[in-house]
Amino acid sequence: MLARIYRDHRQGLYSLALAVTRHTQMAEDAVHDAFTRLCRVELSPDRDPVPYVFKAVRNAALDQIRRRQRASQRGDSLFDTSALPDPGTLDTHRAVETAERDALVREAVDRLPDDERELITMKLYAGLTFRQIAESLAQPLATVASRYRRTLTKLRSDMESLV
Amino acid sequence: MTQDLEQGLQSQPLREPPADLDQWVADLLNNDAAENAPSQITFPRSRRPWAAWAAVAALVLLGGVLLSLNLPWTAPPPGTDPASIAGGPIRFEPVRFDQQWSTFDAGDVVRWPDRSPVQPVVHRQIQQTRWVDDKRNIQIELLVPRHDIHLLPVRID
Repeated sequence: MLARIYRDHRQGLYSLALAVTRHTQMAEDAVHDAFTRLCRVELSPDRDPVPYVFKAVRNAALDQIRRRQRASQRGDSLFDTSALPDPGTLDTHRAVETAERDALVREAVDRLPDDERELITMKLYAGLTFRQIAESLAQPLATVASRYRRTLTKLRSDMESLV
Repeated sequence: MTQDLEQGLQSQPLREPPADLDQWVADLLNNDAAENAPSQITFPRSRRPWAAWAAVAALVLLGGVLLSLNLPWTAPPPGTDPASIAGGPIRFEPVRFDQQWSTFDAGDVVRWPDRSPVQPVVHRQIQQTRWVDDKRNIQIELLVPRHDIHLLPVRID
């Protein structure tokens, strides 16, 4: 079951670990540590195991931060921009505008407080439902949903302020 | 407006998990699967210690019986007359195989990860097998407890 969950959610799990740690090596270690621990527990067949696995990865990522105390080095972006074209090479005004707007989006996400970045990652990049996020974060469903809406509103205003 | 922003966020290229992380996790899960691979005689995981002790006790008992009969542990040389072997061959016949005790407990309907509704049914039972050699008036009994969970698909209209 764990192998299937990893296969289906590897991107979301890694992104969540990266959203928490903001450090690629720590994110890798967090996912690995979490699965090492998960191998030793028996997942309950009567509950959705996905929120439990995300919770384990999140806890392992928080452990990484506590253990390594590398806050000053934690600045890795959630996004991979290495394959994006250089804005200087784009030939149309519209393409340049889109590239600039996308850069603002990424910057705004990276600048979010940790808990809000985690929430956006779980919802949009891991594809979890509000119910799964609520279970994973041990928070009420309504709280998670309203926090998500607030974070989107905040992101929009942050992007406008960055322009 | 919100949907536009969500789509804009989702279209951003994510940093992908590195290949060595995939390999680590695959190795980890493969090792774990190998450690938990069922043996030829399988017992449900939750009752393995109990069942293993029952099996060991039966084997010890069987060994004791064979020792008390003073039977050779190695095969006789080819051409040996079976009648010359002390006591002759042991003929154990399973005279009874019955289920001593069995219960079914149905749990609440839950959603499987693919969202389909299933109902867990816990089946607990103790199986008893008895071998008897009437000639020597020997009986061997093996009790195997089982604890299985079956997931039954449920149709919700």
